[in-house]
Amino acid sequence: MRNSAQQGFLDKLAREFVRLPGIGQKTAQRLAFHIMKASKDEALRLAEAIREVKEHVTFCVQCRNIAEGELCGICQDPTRDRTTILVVEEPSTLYAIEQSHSYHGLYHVLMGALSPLDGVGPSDIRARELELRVRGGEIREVIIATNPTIEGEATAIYLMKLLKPHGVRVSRIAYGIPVGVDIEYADEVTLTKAIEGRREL
Amino acid sequence: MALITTPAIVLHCRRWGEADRLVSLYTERMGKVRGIARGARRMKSRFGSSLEPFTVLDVTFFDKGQEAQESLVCISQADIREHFPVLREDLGRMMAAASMVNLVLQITVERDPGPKLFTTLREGLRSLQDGADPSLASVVVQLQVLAHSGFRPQFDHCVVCESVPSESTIRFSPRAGGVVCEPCARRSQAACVMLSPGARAYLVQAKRWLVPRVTRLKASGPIRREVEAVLEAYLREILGRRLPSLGQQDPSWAVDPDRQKDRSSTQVMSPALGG
Ligand SMILES: [Zn+2]
Ligand SMILES: [Zn+2]
Repeated sequence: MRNSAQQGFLDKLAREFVRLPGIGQKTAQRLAFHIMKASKDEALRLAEAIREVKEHVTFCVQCRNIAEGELCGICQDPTRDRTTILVVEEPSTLYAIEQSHSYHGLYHVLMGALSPLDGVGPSDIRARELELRVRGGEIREVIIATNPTIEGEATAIYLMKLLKPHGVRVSRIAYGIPVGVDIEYADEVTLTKAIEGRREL
Repeated sequence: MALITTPAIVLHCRRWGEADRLVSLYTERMGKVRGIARGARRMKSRFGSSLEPFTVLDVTFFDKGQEAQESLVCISQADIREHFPVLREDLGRMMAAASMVNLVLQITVERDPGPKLFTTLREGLRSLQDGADPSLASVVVQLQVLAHSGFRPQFDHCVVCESVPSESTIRFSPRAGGVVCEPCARRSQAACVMLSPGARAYLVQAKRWLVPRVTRLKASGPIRREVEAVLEAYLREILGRRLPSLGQQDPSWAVDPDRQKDRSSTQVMSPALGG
């Protein structure tokens, strides 16, 4: 009797793990066993960390990055270049760009992309908010880093039209051959993009 | 388990799981098929950009067979046959292509081969790449897609009594699926879209012409609007809801805020008002 109750709790934990992205049935069971065998301290630290994230982490009111207050760390950082905004679809893209340490300006997360195929229009993403930030006056360049998908292209074209009249420089990150692969394996759309996006040496 | 290779057009593509894509294809051999492309979102995926909407491919997939109706196939290879760069650069053309592809996506059932429909869609995308008027090309291709999938609208004579309407304004009944003469319209009490003789003549032509010739079809502003209104009302009737991006110039996409308020309305009239 007691044994089956314990298994019930363990199953319940495994079922929660299985709902996480990238976690299969086997991995979920291993994680659940790991938690069971871990010290009480260690296990409760995990529970506490999850609770804290849900209670204190929200989206930045200015750029929609993950934030622990009104503004995110990047928007609050006085050393960042406040004349440049880099536009991404999702906060996860912002994180990838931050890891590269190659950009030092501000961000704007659209929370999605325009999709003529799914009927997602400009009012469904944070385009108007971006226009308002640009109108504020301090911004000199907007770098668009939407995905090279049909949705990302539609979004980039739309933003270009929306922002150009405000007298800012609007650029788009380069798309083409990934670093570390042979050019001969690239498909024709990727190659077209890479040739279009070439630059003088 | 069969391994199938066929020409196909990518209708829709969305994220699936961690790094995969769920792709809807219109294949030449099997009609509409949905499948998973494993790892397609990774930087060095073998699928590259081939699974982007509007691309014409040679695709290879594993099919679990007929009894597994509606089941997903597993896409193992996709080679680009034809791609249309202009459809990624021009919003108006992208929207027109989206309206063609969306109609095929919604009106067809899975695994029902339609080689004519395949050709019509491919020709339609080509015409947009080659500079055809996007809104007219979209209307004509959608009419032909309807015709190839069993929803051919009737413009030649009254769908009820087969008489040729002689009135100066012609009524199109979305419910009846074609034009109706005045007496039949009164009797059926169905809501109708009013058409000028010019718009009706255009619709008759649009159904007959081959898609490549569409590039040469011209229409004045009023005819254009009438034709679009007929198609929109008919699609709303048969699909039961509004398709995304049906209007070529959806006003909510306008950059100028004033134009966003100017939402064009379809003129659907009841027979009592129209007569
Ligand atoms: Zn911020
Ligand atoms: Zn009649």
